[in-house]
Amino acid sequence: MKNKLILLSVLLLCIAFVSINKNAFKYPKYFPKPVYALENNNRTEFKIELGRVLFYDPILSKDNSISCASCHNPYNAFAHVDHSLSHGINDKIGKRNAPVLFNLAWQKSFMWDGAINHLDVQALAPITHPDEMGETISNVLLKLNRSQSYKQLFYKAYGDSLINSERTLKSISQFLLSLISSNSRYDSMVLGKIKFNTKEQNGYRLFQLHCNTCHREPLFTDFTFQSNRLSIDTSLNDLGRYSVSLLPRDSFKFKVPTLRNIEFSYPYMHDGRFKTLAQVMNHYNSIGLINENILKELRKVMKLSSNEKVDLIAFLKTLTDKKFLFDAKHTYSKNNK
Amino acid sequence: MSPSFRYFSLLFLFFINNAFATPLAKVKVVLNRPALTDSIAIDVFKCYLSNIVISDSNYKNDLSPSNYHLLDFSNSDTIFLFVSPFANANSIEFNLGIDSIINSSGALGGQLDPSNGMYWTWQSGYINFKIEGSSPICTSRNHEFQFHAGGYAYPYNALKAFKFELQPNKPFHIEIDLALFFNMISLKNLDHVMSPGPNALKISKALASCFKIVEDEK
Repeated sequence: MKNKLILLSVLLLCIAFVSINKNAFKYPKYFPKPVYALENNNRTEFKIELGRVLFYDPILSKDNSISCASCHNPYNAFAHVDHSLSHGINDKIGKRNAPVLFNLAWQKSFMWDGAINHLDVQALAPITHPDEMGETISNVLLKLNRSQSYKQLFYKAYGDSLINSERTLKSISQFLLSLISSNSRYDSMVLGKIKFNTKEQNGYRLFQLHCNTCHREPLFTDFTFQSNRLSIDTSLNDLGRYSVSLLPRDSFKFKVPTLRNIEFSYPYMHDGRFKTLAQVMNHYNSIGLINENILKELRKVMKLSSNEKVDLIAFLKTLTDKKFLFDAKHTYSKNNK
Repeated sequence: MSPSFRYFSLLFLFFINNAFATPLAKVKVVLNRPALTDSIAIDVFKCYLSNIVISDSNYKNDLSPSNYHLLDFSNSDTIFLFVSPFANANSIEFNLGIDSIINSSGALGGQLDPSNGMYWTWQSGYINFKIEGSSPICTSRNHEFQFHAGGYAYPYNALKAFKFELQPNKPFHIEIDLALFFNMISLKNLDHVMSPGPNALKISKALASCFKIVEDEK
């Protein structure tokens, strides 16, 4: 009898262990510790699925025409291909370029100016912005509550069919947290599975010399706000970080974006002004004028030769993660009707 | 023309239940001092009171874990706060607004649900209070004023903390005299505040000056 009990408890422990492991948040061991407090939002497959359905559902917008995916396309690392500025309901155009969405568990603040302080509340901004989805959170809840299929999805995720904003937002977070890009050629190189070719290796050397201060490995951003001497677009007059901090030294500073999947996330910069990586290279190669408001690393001219620019771009392309870009788990769900 | 004055008086209670369930404390909002040169009509007054701690000499009674109360003075259902029996209270502490920890904690429910309309969606953070209305003195469209105060990050942390001494066993109420608010700001020069910053600090200071403890007369 006693033996049976021991056997049973061992079995139960094994089951518990397996189920915990199934819901564990996995990431490479050379990544830092995530900043998202996962203990306040337990990961489950049902929550991720609910978040995924919400992400692809235009029900979040006022006229049911725009979903998150309208500007965050999975095949472009969830950026908005070919569109310099984000789009909204009634053909409205926003002020900034839609950023890539992955490795968000490590991100301390969101938006180009860091106006959003937590992943859970990020979705509120595009949902309520008049130039984006133009909707209210109360009306979204009303619409979700009318839907039988959402009642079922909430029931599966939370054990009852109550639909409120906390559950809605945390489910979207769970889907976003599941977007992890860590299977690029660069990652294989770090793990010792492959070696870079000569061009990539030289590009990697140049990257470490010129770019790694802000676009720091392995996430390829240090999440700070910096000015990279872009000329001011007077049709937007975007003050960047200043509009949040109200500190004059933060004028025209924007969040350092990750470089992972950069090959697919064009156009570039906070206003999408550059269409190609070559244009980006030329920009950084041309700055370097004395300016107190920019990093000392950017005050000296890079002076890259044409071959060096080609090598640096070859390195940047090793950050492409095709497994992530074409992962069926991240695309439109069968539950999206 | 003599200045008109639209009387604004709302009485709301939050109870501290003692053995006889007699109300010991209540919040009263008044605008009853005709110190202004023109009339003021108030349409909206909502505020968060949080981290309420009632103490006697050796015991603290805080209302955690859900010590966040959204008072909406147009909806009497929202302003009754029940706390556990506590008779010999000699001090009460509370905050006007939401602290920085809660402001950075992501999606929350109940009183802190962003669908309550007291959350800035475009720049994360709770709105500590809203005062909206109109006055002929305002040069704005329809003579309206709209004050939304918030901000939790240095140097624009708009939270206001209070500590009042209490006479043990004496019933009291908390009075918010909004006339003091309008005395401290000039509606002619400032008729809207909608984001964290120096003006949010200014109006938070103005509203904080309106709070006082008044002993009830038996």
